[in-house]
Amino acid sequence: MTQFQVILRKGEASRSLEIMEDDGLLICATGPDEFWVFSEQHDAQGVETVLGRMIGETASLFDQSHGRVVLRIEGPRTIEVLAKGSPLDFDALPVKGAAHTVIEHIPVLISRREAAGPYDVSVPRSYAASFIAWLEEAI
Amino acid sequence: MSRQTNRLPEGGLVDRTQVISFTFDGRKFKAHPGDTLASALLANGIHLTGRSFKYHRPRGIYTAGAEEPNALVTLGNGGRTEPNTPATMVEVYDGLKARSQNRWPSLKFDLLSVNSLLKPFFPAGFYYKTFMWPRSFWYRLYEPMIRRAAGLGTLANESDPDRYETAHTQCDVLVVGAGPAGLMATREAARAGVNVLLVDEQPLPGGHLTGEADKVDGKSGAAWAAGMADELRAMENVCILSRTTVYGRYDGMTFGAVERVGDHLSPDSALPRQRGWTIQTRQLINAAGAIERPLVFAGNDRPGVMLAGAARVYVNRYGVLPGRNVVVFTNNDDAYRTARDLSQAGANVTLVDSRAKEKVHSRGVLPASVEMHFEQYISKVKGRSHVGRVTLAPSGTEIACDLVCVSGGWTPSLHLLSHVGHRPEWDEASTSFVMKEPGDEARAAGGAAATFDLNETLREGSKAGKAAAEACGHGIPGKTNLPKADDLPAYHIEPLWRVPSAMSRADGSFVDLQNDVTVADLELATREGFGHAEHAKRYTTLGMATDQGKLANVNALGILSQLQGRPISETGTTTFRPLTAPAAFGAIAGQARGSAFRPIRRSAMHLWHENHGAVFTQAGLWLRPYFYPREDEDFAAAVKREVLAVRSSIGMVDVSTLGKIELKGPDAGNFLDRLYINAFSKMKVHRARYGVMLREDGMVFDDGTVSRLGESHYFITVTTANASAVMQHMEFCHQVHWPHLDVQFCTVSETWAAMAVAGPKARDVLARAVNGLHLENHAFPFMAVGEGTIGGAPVRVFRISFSGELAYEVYTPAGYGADVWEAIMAAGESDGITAYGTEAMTVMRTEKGHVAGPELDGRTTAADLGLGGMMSVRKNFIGRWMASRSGLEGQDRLQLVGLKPVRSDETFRMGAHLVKDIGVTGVDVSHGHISTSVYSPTCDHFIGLAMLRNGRERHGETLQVVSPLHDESVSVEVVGPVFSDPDGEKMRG
Repeated sequence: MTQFQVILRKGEASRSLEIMEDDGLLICATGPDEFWVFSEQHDAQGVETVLGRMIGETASLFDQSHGRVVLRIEGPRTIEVLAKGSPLDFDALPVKGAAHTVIEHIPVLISRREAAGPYDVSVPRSYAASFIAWLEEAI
Repeated sequence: MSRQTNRLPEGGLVDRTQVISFTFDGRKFKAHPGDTLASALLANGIHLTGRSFKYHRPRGIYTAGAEEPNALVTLGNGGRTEPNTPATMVEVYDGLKARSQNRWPSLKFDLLSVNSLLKPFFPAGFYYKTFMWPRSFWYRLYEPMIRRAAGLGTLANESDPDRYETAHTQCDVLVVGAGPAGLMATREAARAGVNVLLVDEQPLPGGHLTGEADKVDGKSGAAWAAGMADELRAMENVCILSRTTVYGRYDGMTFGAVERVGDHLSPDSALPRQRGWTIQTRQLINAAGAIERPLVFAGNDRPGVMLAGAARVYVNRYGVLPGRNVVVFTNNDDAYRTARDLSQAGANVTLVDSRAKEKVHSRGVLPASVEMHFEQYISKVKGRSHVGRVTLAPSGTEIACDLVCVSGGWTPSLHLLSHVGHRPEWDEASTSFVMKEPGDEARAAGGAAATFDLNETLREGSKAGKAAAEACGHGIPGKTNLPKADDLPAYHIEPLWRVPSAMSRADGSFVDLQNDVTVADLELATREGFGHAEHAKRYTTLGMATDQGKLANVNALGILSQLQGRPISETGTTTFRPLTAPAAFGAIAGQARGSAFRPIRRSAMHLWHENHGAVFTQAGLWLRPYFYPREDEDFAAAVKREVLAVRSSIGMVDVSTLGKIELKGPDAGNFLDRLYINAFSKMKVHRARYGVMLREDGMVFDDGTVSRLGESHYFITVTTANASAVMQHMEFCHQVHWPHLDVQFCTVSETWAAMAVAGPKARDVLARAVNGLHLENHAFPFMAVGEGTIGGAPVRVFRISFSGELAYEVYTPAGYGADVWEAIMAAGESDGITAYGTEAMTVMRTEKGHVAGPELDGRTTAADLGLGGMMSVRKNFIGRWMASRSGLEGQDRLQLVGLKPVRSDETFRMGAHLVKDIGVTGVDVSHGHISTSVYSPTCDHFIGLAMLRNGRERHGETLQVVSPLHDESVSVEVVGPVFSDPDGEKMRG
């Protein structure tokens, strides 16, 4: 999955990025002036093109696709399992939203695709094996 | 296996259709599902369950709840051994095995009970006063001996084979306690639409209602509570956790709790044993109820003495009659219900009340058969391993009995209201501490608020639920239907902290059963000046151990106030701290144990390293190849081979663990100028430069390289150890110091795999592997930066050298890391390319005199390290002014030098000190220390980097290296820090 970290330029703080699913992007606010963009449809260049059309020069784009492994978790027990590791309030996580959290000391970014899930857990690549070991026991 | 002698023919909430068996001290007994170990033992006529902490006195089951001080047992065997478990909280399952504690050779005949006879000689503080000389004996002999004799259960040495987990949850309102107040509070808050989490330590809802005979809405209390719980479970915004103890409240309305998930099941169950919860809430309703207080009189610790409330729980909830000839001794109205219930269950009951007859409200509830004595006290108890007879005072009447039920009133459970600093206040009417000002986020209802009337409790619970919901911004629609409980006479109490001293011996009157603290101990503490509540606790150990004074504290405070002749409100109370109840470490650690204690980070090339025999070392969370031994090679041989390969031909090392940060924006260069001691804003695009950052105080913080990839695009590397610290520092500087700078940056450490290709053949080999990039020296000189592809994968190539050789760092998106690594390996095969680990890297950077972690130890300035010339004087940067303090510039600073042994076969170690004369000792003889020492294959002898006082002026001097810990001393010569290629011809060529 292509992933971009998007940080707004100085003075662009009030701008909010529209969710543009038609363009094959999921754009989630993840911090002050910071967004995370996911796309299964586009490669890095494609995402840059679409984002460039949307926001021009108002933000800096950082391609993080190679740095993160995404695990898609679904099923009725998804939140129960993730809550064994994460203090996140999953009810408060908006649909098509994402939040940074920590699971067993591993910084992860969890995004919610639809109201009933699935949840995508974006894990820093070097931690992937440890995270999967945790997940297997937690499940 | 014998009959359950004390099981009533009917009644209780146990499942009489099933009979299960368990063992206690090896003897087999019968029980029913729904029993606790305590109720099952009592059903079998067993009261004696343990020996006391200090005097080894026989002790029996005293309560029916978590506050049990006496009946602490050890469950399980081997790694599953669980000592100090209250028998009152253990749900019996078929095959349960429990053992008594603190006795030898057996519970009935315990040799150390001789301590009990010597009790007059063992007052509080005895050990510390007696075993003082010789001083050295304390640790070696006295303390181990005393510890063996005292204490509770013994821990297992094996690791615990059970599984534990942690969990997090959030709610608007946390209700602690599923008794009448808690159930009502939950219902009302939930009706208002907030999310409610109801937590209760028992398997059944209802709290004390499960142990009462009185009715609510015409149903038994247990049936009413079960109906309420069903109604609540059907609500979407209610979650109920049973068998869960909230053990602590922490800042920001965070609570810790332990759920006993599988404890009531056989250990073979697939469920985790316990689950440690972290609960985040907005509002707390403390409906944790109240705990009954003991009465203090001589012999009040004998097996067969029990709290009055507990006795009726055994009758009503478990269908067990704990005694047939019962004396109920009380100072309040509540115990009359015990007298009533036990009498109705068939016991002969005598009631002894310390109050005058006319003060008592509840005489009417008693059947005519109950004999009553007013203004009388129990002064003496006969029967060593079980009560047989009590003597009343002042009348002198003797009553034969096998059960003494005592009630000194009720103490509200305030722990969760007090943990974050609120102080309870003394309330004369209820003779208890209450929380009058629990803060805006917490409230209490029912027993926890010193409300002992059931109808009032139901009303108060409902009110608390509404108030909590309102505090969350939710109003309540419609009217509340309050259930109606049987009316009982009003609760009245008259304080009785101890039976008057003239009637009952102080040294046999136990205040704290768990810690064997008597009235005599408190008298002694007061005499010796330790009468304040906090002092008396430490002096006597009262209120310590697993029950944390839940039973003893209020009586003790009452006695101390009497001894000092001032009101209890002035004696003060001790401080409530988490944990309120013991929690197993396993439940707090969850899955984070053994190899999962912390995560492991692996680079994109990790599998290659594994497949090629790498021995790994830990660098923070990272696993890095340390060296790659070939057949028969030891550490030294492998490292030597790796170094020589690089120096003579070519080698490659995985440097993916370096911290990497990418910066964009028009002010990126300006931002870096402010962070580093040297300047980058004027550096040309496609160039790299070594950079050093200082802390605010002028000491070196970190070093690495800064590369300019575009006009407003930079890429920096920082040391593995400081990767996140530097990122935090940069975020702080940007957000706080210079928010006006238009720069955006983020960590890309994970995104790029990195490898350093080093050695005389590096250019030839890399040229064979890379496309789209010319590597000739004129086209791609030292410190050049370029882009190309290797095997189709995009790469960034930096001509940077840590080893001092002709070298390139190759970065590629991590997904290509392994492919690019293998492609370079293949291209270098004909030149004998050698993978090298962190040790060879350390050896080579030491040979080259490059500083690293051991030199950047937080005490060194750039000037100390010979990098002072890099400090720009034309710009401001963090640390500039503090680094120019006179103390950091003087002649006596420790400065970086190189060392070599005078005799080339001698070695020295890191941390050793440099002295002029080994014969001179003192605090100021050290001239410095060795920061790094390695065997240098290039020089063929040991070399070192050291921090030496005024070192740069002392090249050529001979000094002694001493390590008194290892009894070593070696002569060394001070030299320049660069041993290999001092003019840099190799890396620039």
